[in-house]
Amino acid sequence: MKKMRLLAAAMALCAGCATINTADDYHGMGIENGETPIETVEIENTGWLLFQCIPIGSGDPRYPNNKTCRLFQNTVTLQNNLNILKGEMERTGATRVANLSSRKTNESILLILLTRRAYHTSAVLLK
Amino acid sequence: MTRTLLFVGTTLLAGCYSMDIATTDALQNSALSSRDGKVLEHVVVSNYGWYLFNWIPIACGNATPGAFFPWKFFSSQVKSDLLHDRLMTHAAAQNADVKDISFIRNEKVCFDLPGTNFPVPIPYILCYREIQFSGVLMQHKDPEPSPEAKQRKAVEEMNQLLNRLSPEEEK
Repeated sequence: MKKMRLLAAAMALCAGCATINTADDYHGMGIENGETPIETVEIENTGWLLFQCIPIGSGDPRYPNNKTCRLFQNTVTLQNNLNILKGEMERTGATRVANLSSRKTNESILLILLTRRAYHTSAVLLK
Repeated sequence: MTRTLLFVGTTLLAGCYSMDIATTDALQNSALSSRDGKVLEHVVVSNYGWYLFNWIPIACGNATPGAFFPWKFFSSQVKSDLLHDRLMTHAAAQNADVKDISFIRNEKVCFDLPGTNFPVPIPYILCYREIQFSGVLMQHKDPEPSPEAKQRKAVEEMNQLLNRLSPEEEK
């Protein structure tokens, strides 16, 4: 029983997370030729890989900010980040995107034993 | 067995070149009312590699177009101009303009002793280098001509018209 709890704790630590952070206070300032922004968005999806190729767990892009994860699946892709962005655009009623950029990060433990991979996407949503 | 392990280890340790492409209908429809044109796709090009003494390339992802092997030894492939060229070549193939380009460079020169939190006391023995380019491909639009160019074109057209008319007037 104790071993199972330890295993569950280890799995929880190695699971990823999909998050979306927003900021919407522009103090009345316009961006991009005076257009009205709705919010600035930063999307992050993380996951853990064994030997850089075997997925242990990664964030669930269907439910960002819900601390849910998918075990043994790699959901850390650019496409999933754009799908989260699409959901946020639908939620806020945004029709345009500006300053869209993405980057990947890799952090490794013992070179290739465990790798934490993350995909970050940021954008400004406009009306 | 040793050779197989060596091969697998090298494959996993060596650098990796990647070009991630994604799009959604929300993005494609996002610029309908915009002067910028239609969004085609979002692209991230990245490559990383390992260097000895920050100078000698050991193993890098192979960013050469049409490369068979995904890695390349003793050849520096983590170069901004090489990756920028790949992004622009892809954009040209799509007949697209590139917008929102961002350039990310990441470098690590200190590593921890295996299994500890203590860094190797001398930096720059083994270095990790990574370059990423991110951009948004927009449907290509011919640039709007300047007022001077418009005026010049109008004068040329007028001259052509006058040239065509003048022989008839002589008759």
